[in-house]
Amino acid sequence: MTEPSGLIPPLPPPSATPLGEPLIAIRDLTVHFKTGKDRVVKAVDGVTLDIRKGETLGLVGESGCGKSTLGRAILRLTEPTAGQVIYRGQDLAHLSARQMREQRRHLQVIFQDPYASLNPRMTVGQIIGEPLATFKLARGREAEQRVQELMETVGLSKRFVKRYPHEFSGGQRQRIGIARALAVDPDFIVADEPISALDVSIQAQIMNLLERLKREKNLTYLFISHDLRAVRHVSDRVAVMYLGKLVEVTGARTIYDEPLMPYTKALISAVPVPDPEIEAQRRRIVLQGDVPSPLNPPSGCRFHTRCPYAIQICREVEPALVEIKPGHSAACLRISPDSPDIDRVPSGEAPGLV
Amino acid sequence: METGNGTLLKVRDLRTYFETEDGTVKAVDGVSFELQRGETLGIVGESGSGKSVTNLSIIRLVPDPPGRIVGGEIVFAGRDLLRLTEDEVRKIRGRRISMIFQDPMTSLNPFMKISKQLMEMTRLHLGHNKAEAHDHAVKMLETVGISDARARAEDYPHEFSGGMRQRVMIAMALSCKPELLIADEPTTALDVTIQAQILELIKKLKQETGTSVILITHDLGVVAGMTDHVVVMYAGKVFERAPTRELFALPGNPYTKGLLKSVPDPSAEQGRLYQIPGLPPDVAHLKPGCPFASRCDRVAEICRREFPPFVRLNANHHSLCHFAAEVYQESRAESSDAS
Amino acid sequence: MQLPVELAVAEGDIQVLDVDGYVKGTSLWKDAWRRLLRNKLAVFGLVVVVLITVIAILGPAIIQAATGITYDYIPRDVTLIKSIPPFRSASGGFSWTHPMGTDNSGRDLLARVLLGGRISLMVAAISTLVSLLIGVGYGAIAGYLGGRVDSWMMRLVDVLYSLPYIILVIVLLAMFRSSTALGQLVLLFVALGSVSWLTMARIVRGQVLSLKNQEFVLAARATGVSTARIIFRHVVPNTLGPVIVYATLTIPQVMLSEAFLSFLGFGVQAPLASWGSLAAEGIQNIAIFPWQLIFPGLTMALTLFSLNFLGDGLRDALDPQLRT
Repeated sequence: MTEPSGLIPPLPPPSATPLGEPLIAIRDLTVHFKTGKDRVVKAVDGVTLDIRKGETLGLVGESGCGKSTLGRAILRLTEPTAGQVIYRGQDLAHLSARQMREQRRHLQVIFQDPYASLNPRMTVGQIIGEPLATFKLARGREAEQRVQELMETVGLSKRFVKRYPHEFSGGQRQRIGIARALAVDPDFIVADEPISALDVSIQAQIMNLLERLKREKNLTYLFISHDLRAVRHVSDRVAVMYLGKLVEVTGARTIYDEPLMPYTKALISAVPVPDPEIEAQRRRIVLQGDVPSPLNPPSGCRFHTRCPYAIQICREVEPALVEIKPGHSAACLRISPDSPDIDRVPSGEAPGLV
Repeated sequence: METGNGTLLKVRDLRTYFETEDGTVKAVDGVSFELQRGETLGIVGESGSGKSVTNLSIIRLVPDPPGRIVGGEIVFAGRDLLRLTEDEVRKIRGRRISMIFQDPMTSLNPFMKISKQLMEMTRLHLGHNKAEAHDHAVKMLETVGISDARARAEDYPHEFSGGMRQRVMIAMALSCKPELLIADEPTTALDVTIQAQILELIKKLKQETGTSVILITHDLGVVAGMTDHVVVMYAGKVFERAPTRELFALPGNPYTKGLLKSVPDPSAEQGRLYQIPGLPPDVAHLKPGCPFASRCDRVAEICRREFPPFVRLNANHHSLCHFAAEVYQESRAESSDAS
Repeated sequence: MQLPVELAVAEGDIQVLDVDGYVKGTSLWKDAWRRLLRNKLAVFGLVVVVLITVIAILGPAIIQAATGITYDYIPRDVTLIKSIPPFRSASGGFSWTHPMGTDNSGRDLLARVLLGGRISLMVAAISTLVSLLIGVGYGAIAGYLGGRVDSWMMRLVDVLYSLPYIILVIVLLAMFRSSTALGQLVLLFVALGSVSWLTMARIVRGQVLSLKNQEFVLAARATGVSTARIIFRHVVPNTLGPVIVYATLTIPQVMLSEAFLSFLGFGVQAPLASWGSLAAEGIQNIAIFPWQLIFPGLTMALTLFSLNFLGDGLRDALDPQLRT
């Protein structure tokens, strides 16, 4: 099919990434914010993580853990302080603004707040069509058609193309945001709390939509959320963050059935289960105290102040993320590949200390 | 109804309407339920269901205008709250019925010390003098688990974290030992580990003081773990009312069933999630018939024409549906299949 | 293609379809306009302002065509050194010729009041427009770029703000007195416009600061939109609410400033007139020929409070920005 003149022909397909090769390799990524006179918020502190092509990687943690900051740093919406983000052989963290803009075609984002993530003064058609114009992918009649196709793909009637964001419900607005992210045919999408602001019945719709789109369009997701149930459902692998550091990474099922690190155990146990029988019987780990501030994270293992298993050494030495079982890494001094079950480790011992 | 120690609160046919640019919004349209002493009642609903407005109506904090309670009764310990004067209601608020809200950031006065805000409650309602009130305030802070309470009482709200502020709210709400505590999404804005702490706290305090609790939430997991009875609301109406165990095990309403199925169950491997199709209702423009008709997977012609009856499935279980009995039967069949 | 149920329109949704079968959208501006029209005081203000503007523009031409009288027409009979009261002729009987009377030189006051209207409104509108353009652009750039650029730009604004503007303007006008009508007007534009843009810049900068961290701006960055387009296509249109309100309330302020300056003798000179200069002339004879002050004064007051009503109405209409 001949292309109309003046338009940039579509980019050649990415060189085939062998199965299992990371699509995005994050190495030692650090994001520190200076908040006046010597106070530094260590939002993300040395995170190393692979995001594999075709997977949904769930990123969970509570407020202050840095998961949103990590997602934004990957896309350079927040400037990383140090580290690398390697995508297709290039380090995104060190590209110039113009080079980065070119890469944005492949890396998109969906935000949490469907009310704030759409410009209230633009119509839906304009919002979804803007990326097409920015990257010169389509024009005029063809652009209109593409916009309408996108709307139908995400489950919105194309008759609404002239409406404004405030005339839609929350779930519909989130669909518009998804359509906008898809407009450029990206490889990778960071979904930053995409369902937290929606009603329960709509959450299921959006989760199903995201899964279907992933299959149809060969996408890779970073699914950031504090809702463990949702993350467990949509993700292939899950990474847990605490105060700027990765503390556990493994498959989605495993993180729920066999969490290794005490924080993960507490997190899983804190999630209420919609079944009264189970709720009545289950033993819950209730943590003491509040999440410490990322301005002044605790020394050694950052979780030691709330950890029911903490011993003296935990205050002094920061644990590294170690592969305890195949495909299952955790950062805890009190477990090791030989003694993975923390409940069985004799008190006072730290087999993970090398 | 179950015996308990008597009925504390009886809401009958409550109607609260709002006049807006779009017309009259029937936020709460004929809601009835009861609460026994010492029990926890959960009210579940999504946006537009009317759950928050119901509770604001109970303590008569509905902004007027544009809202107005146009009908019904709210009988609290024998007296109809809707017939009381503003002064009489004010005596009850805080003293016998307390409320905690979702956002602890905006519920506390940022310019007043915590101790002062707590003292205000007891000096007003219990007639404490300054010293008594201060001691009581410190004791309440200790009860809700704030360490170093005497020192922290002199802090301002912004010096507390979200979880701690919510604890302070609970301390305020319980400082006059109310008979009824209404908690409107108390943990929605909090982290999940903090949520677990707060819910445990509410449970513990309830046991110690015997306060009855109305817990409003959209999280079915919280409902499962905290409540004795549940009321499911949709479009300003009660769609189902049952003891908690029964509601989860044997739902009698397609909406409830749909909700239960669409929450991802962390302990099971699921394929595609069940999703309730369509959008939440536009409460300003409701069509005749059942408000859930356009989204129901067993909708029939009668559903669109006639408003459904409130069917009594058994002594404690009611459901608003033309096919309530059938849905209930199916649930029974499914559960006996499973067991 | 059979669409899944989720594509169904929400129940009770009122839709208006346009020619191609698309559902018409209601922009926030349309919404605000509807709300404005419901505010009776604001509508009154709007109508009055529009009416006065139209009369000021067309009036002098109509009067000239009908009676041959212009604003600077001085009758040849030089014995008429006293002013003629309203609805009287030179000989003392009833006459339609001078509905507002004349000034001391015999010039028709109605024509002068209308001319004064033209000039006052024009000066106010153009000055406000100039201050809008400069202020919005300056404030948006400072606010969005932030950091040191922002610091320096706003320091400049602070310095300019602290200068005693009245004295400066008077000095300026005194130094550059012009004899041509155009010259006088341009001086006034410059003098008045150069002050009011400062507050506009501050307002816009404040708005931009809060908007630039909104997620839709982040989304625009994430989709590769250039900085210039983000500022002027995404951020600025969302600041226009307070800007419009402020502009509508600036016009009366500028009008008053111009009146004040003309009153002092620094603004327009005779034979040109503005409401302020007319008031200056009128006040000299207030004991004997009060109408020389009353008519321009009343007209100006009417315009000012109509603009204020309109401004208040706009603020209320534009405030609920996002419908829930």
